[in-house]
Amino acid sequence: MAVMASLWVVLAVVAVSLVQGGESNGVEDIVPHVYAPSWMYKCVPDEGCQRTEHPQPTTTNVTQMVFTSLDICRTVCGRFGGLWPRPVTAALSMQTVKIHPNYVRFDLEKVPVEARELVAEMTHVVGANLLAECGGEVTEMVETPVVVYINVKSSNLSLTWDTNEQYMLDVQTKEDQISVYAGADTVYGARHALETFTQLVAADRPDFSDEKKCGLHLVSGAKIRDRPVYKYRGLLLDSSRHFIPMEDVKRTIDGMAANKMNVFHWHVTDSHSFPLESSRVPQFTRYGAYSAKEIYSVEEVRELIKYAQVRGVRVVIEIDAPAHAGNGWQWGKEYGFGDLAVCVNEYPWRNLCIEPPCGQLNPANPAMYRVLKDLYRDIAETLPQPALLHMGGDEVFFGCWNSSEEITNYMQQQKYEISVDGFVALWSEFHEKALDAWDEQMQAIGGTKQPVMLWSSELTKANRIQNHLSKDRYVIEVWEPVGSPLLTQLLRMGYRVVSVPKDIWYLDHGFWGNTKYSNWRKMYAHRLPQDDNVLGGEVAMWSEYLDEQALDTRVWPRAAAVAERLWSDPSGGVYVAEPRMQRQRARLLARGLRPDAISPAWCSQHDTKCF
Amino acid sequence: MWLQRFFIYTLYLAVLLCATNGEEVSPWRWACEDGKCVKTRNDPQNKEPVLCLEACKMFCNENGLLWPRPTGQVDLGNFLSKININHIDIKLVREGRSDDLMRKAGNRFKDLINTAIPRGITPKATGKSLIVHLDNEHPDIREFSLDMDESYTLRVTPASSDTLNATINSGSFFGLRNGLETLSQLIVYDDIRNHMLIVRDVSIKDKPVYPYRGILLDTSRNYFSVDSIKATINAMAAVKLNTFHWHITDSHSFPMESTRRPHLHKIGAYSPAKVYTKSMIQDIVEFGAVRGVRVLPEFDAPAHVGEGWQDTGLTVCFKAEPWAHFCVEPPCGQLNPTKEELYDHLEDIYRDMADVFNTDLFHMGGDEVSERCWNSSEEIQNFMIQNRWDLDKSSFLKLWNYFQKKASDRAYKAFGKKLPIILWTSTLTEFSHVDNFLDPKDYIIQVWTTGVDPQISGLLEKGYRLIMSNYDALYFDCGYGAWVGDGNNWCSPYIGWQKVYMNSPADIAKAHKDLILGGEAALWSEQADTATLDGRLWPRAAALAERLWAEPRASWEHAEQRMLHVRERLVRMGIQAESLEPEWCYQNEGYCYRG
Repeated sequence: MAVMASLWVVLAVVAVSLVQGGESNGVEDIVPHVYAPSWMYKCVPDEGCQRTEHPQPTTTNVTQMVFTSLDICRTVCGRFGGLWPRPVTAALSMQTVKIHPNYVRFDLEKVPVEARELVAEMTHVVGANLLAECGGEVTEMVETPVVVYINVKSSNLSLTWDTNEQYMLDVQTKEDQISVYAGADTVYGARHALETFTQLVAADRPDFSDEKKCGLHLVSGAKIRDRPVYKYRGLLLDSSRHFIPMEDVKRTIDGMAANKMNVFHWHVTDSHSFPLESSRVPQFTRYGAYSAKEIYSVEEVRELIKYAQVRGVRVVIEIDAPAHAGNGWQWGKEYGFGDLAVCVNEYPWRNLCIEPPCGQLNPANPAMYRVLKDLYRDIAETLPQPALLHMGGDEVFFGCWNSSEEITNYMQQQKYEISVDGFVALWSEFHEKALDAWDEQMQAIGGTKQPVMLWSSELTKANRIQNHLSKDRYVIEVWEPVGSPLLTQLLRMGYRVVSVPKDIWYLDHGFWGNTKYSNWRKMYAHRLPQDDNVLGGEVAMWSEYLDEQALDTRVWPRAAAVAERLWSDPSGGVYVAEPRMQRQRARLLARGLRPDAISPAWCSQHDTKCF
Repeated sequence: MWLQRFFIYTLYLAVLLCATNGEEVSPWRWACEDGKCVKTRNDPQNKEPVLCLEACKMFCNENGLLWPRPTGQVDLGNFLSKININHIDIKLVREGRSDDLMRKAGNRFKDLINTAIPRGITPKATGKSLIVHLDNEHPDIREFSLDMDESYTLRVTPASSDTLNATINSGSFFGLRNGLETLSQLIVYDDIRNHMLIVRDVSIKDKPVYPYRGILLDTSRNYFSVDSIKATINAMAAVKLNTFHWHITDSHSFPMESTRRPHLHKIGAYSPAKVYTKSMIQDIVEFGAVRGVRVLPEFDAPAHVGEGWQDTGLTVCFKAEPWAHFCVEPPCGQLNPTKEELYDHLEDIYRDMADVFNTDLFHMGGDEVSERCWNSSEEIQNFMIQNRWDLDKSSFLKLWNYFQKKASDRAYKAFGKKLPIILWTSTLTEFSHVDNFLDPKDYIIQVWTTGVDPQISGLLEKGYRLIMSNYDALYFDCGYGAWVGDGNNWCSPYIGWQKVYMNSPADIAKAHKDLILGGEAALWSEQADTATLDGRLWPRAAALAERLWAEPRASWEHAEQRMLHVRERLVRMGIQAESLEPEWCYQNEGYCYRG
């Protein structure tokens, strides 16, 4: 025990280092003060936070149920305060206590040595998020010590869908000392506890005020027990139809972390462009990127993966194949490899693909598989282990393959008919070879066979899938609309699935064709079947009509609605959730995202009055 | 067609400056074939002159990269010249009362050119100098009006081996400013050579079809920062829109500083920081003036009032529940027209507006008045009975008219002139009886029903001047989820830019086209605030801008490539515009069509 004591480590994270020029500065107010008083907010049972009838001077005695800021009111009002996603159980005090990030310390004694560096980085994020509540500067100084005791049992740092994300969080205030206990099996559970801790803090500055004075308040007592309902809570981002700069991708990860989402499904390539740098095959980006500036370098991808890990998010890379591959694959002939892909950029496109530009890998060309192996090797080396690869596999157009003599000749050699069945066989053969290639590369780096993900398609139809895809190796991502029976059929056959019903959880709908926009309420209301083989679900941000300019507003706060659905699967309706949703939107805004507005600000200041 | 082939040929000769030079070479080049820019590999060994994407687009289309397309003659020649954008000299040929505006417009022109350079790049500082001659026939005019002269001609010619001349002729500052805007669109950054290029031989004659080309922003349902409003006006100027219609108040909040009745904003704003002070408004108005954008205030009444009026006793059914009974959305609220002191209040608000807006038009709102709301007040009922009116629909119209007459008299007094008043279409403006209430000489009607509403032809036949904001094409808040209740919002679906572009006021008005002053896109802000403003407005408002400037006969397909470019230009100006198509479609013209 004495030896243990010598290992006593306290990592104090002094968040003030994040403040720039913390001293009071001489900058004059840009906004002239029109008047002094401001609104107060009452926590009214069953009605939530209500703005007072008249602005009151902030100096009036604040009674228990009246608060100077909407954020503080939300933090204590209602059973789950301002927490998003909703925890399993929570008991929150209605009192708050003033704190300052400078006096928040994190005690990592009970974190296994191997995990301390990672947990320390997680605490840095907490520091930054606390400051963000005050717009970067907490001017109200209090010296009340806050010690966050972090307890992690396991030293395993891998993040998979078997990772235990459960946590507990207690806040206790005794005289002049605040103790916070954050306990979990894994570092990722502990991270969730820290996120929840951050959500127990709010700024007292009147909402949207440009006043410089700002202090932080922490709920003085809390007891929270929490764990997710679904293991896979994802967000898909397509960076091929438009390139999305790395800083915007990272900001999206910030948003996911705020909502305890844990899978960043990166649809990084498609027929339009190939922005992912491959060290073994530099031609991919040279021929496939929109420009030299629109490339994700190997270094940047590694950094992103680390960035995501600190935020409890696993990066899953998708290399969509054999369809949705074109630009980036068109250099084969020049290098003496023959056609690696066929019908690339061909038109008229209607008979060759689902949307321009067309392109499909050439399964008749062995060189194509060699190039694919090299790409897989790069990815296997980059992804966190155990690596999860999404192999795409959607929307294969037989007309495209049929337009290539090389392929139809190959089919005849293989004794495949030139018919739907023949093309299905060819497609199936592709997946078999691709999976072998992936397994081989995983083995080469010392890994083991891992399940891979695949989109639902003609190949995954109930009457076909069992002849082609093993349920032990493939997790099927079902994107059929809610009305489709496929999800239940696959579950009945024992397949593991991830669900993303396109008519509800596709974030690009409502801006093209006959698609309909789903608001956050509709997204929230959708429930998945409760079945161990439903790993979870995700929202999908396809980028035909979007680049980094509109990214935030299209994704947030709607993705947050699905995040709560997947984390807590609450049975209460959307209206019960709305005040917390308003708080989450404000939180995302404070953290530098640009979430869409969900109502007039008046409704946010008068809970339940706009229903 | 032979002309186009000629273009291609000469272009290759012309852009000798496009010789590649060994250092970091873009792997792609573009060539104009059959009116489309075709993307091809750029062989670094190749010493032939090659075109970057924007240089190709400039000549591959009769309107180049110009947006909105000019309405008169356009000749862009066949040549691009390297220019040194550090050597731009702007000269005023004639001086007058608008000198300060012209100088500021000149500075804005220089800023705009700089936005064409990608972040983190310094183009080579070689090439020709540019002298811009601003020749304004009436340099004393600086006031907005519905008949201001916005036309201009623009010529660019080589002056010597190292100098180019650009000359803009106009009849007013407004035309001059438009000419500068066009000139800025003729300068591109070449990423193959890291150089700025300008079209060398230009002759353009241009003027707008409609005098009123606007965007409405509602700053009551949600607040918008001053910076975001300025960014909007800046973008409007870039596409030659000329009216920022400021729906500044509504029942939700009263964010405008009223020095005469300070209680209105003190208790009407969402928070102390969410007030537009008079100096802020003045700043915005001035910002607009330099950009040829009038800032038009709306004070919506007698409905759409509420927050801010709590202590006056001048409203009825404020926050009444169930709200659906008394108004179209919560919170309810309507002015009580029977109170004499109401009109003193209104005059003070109008005077506060007159202090800072310096406007040639005034919008008095006048939409969605609820009979039930007024009818819920005993005081109003008594007033009507005293006047020997019934309590039926036509009597409430009389009451409304009573209000409008008294309020407009106060507005004329406050603004010191009988300025044209704009009102929304409503039950008061139904063509069957509108002339009993509103004189077409005094009133302009802003249409917000659909483009096929028979009211439109009815109003035109009675001689009313109209501004088109038909919601089926110009309400930019449509298509999102409802914020009250389930499903999507009332005017769903989302309106794509193509529909905005094809919404022709002339087609709607037919024989009475001359009575159409123009059109306006509206952003009602129940579900938008500073964070989302840009994406809702842009680039769709640019589609409206070309429709109103040019009334093009050709359909949107012919404008598509230029539209994709104007979107890129807006982004470079710092506008977070929506994207319309994959970047691939911008780089590969003619592939992304519906088969």
